[in-house]
Amino acid sequence: MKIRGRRPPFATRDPREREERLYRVVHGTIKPIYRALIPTNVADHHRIPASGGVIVASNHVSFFDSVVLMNSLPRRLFFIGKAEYMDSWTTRKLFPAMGLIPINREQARKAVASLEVAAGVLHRGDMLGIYPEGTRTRDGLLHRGHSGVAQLALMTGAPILPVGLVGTGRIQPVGTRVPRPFRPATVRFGEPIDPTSYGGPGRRRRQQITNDLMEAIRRLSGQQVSDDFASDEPPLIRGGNESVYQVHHVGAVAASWRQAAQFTVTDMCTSFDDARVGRIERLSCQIEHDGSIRFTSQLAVSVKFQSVGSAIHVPAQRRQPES
Amino acid sequence: MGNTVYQVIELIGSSSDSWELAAQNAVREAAKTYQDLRVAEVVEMDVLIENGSIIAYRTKLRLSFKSS
Repeated sequence: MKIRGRRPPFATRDPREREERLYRVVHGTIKPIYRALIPTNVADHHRIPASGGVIVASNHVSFFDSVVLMNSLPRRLFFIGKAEYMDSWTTRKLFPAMGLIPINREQARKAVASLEVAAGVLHRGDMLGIYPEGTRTRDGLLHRGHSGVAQLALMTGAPILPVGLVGTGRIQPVGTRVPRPFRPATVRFGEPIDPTSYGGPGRRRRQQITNDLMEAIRRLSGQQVSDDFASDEPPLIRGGNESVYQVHHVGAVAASWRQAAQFTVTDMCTSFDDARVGRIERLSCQIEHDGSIRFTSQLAVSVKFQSVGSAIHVPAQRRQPES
Repeated sequence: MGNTVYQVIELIGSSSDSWELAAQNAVREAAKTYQDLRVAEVVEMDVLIENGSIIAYRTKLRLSFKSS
């Protein structure tokens, strides 16, 4: 005999529909509280595409950035985050309802898997938030952008909406657990970047899109720029405590040691997104028959190791110093 | 023994726990790409220190594998 009773709230057979209903309730509850506590000035919201997949790329100052973004956009915004965030029952229920898509640690190591999850969000016509700096800035500077955003845009054709966030660092500075209310935040939207308008080889397009995006974010956020990547760790182990780097021994010949070293670094940075640390290993020079001198600089350059399945591989041609 | 060519790469593994785990991380990642890994020679070991405590152990390995 069937026992008939009241259906629980959000009861539906479709998990996506259930999550969508929960989202509407959670968002509908949070938004008025947010508005009352955080005075937010939103500029140029007419630049937000009304439909279709969009990558929302913002500077990253505070844990609170995602909250401000979610409450400043007229459409639902998804983020990809670590599954460890969902260890407790409340976060496991609430975070997905707020748009967080969990990926486990093993998946997170594989950039390709994360990209596929992200591409799925864009293909179904939703907005995806990404911080191109990779992590929150510790010094207030706008750091170098990783090229994953550009790669994702080129994969999916989705436009990138540059965003400059100002003031969130005062609401919840790095290291604090509770946001401080009544401190103003400003959200400025830039012109969307269309990835299909870029030509040339893939690597150059990725770099050009990344450069244009970071320049747009710089103008919108008003931050000073750092040539370095942002990181939770000191420079030598960026990418996490369990990262693996490969050391490439490369060099070049030029009119000066400095120029030769610069050629080598430029070459490595063009070939790899993650060339980080360069150490001079050897300087030498050769005297030609006509009395001119050629200078050779050999460097050891650490590059994040990409195992099979990754998009980046060691190029076959590399400038080697003459022995 | 026939003529064999071995290729050598240098990898730096890091771990928040130990040099051994740092070396294991490097070998594990290399094994995803290269088959027939035979010898890993430890070239250098160091630690990274922040605020007076060790935050990472790093092991630089020279790995050799049969060139295909």
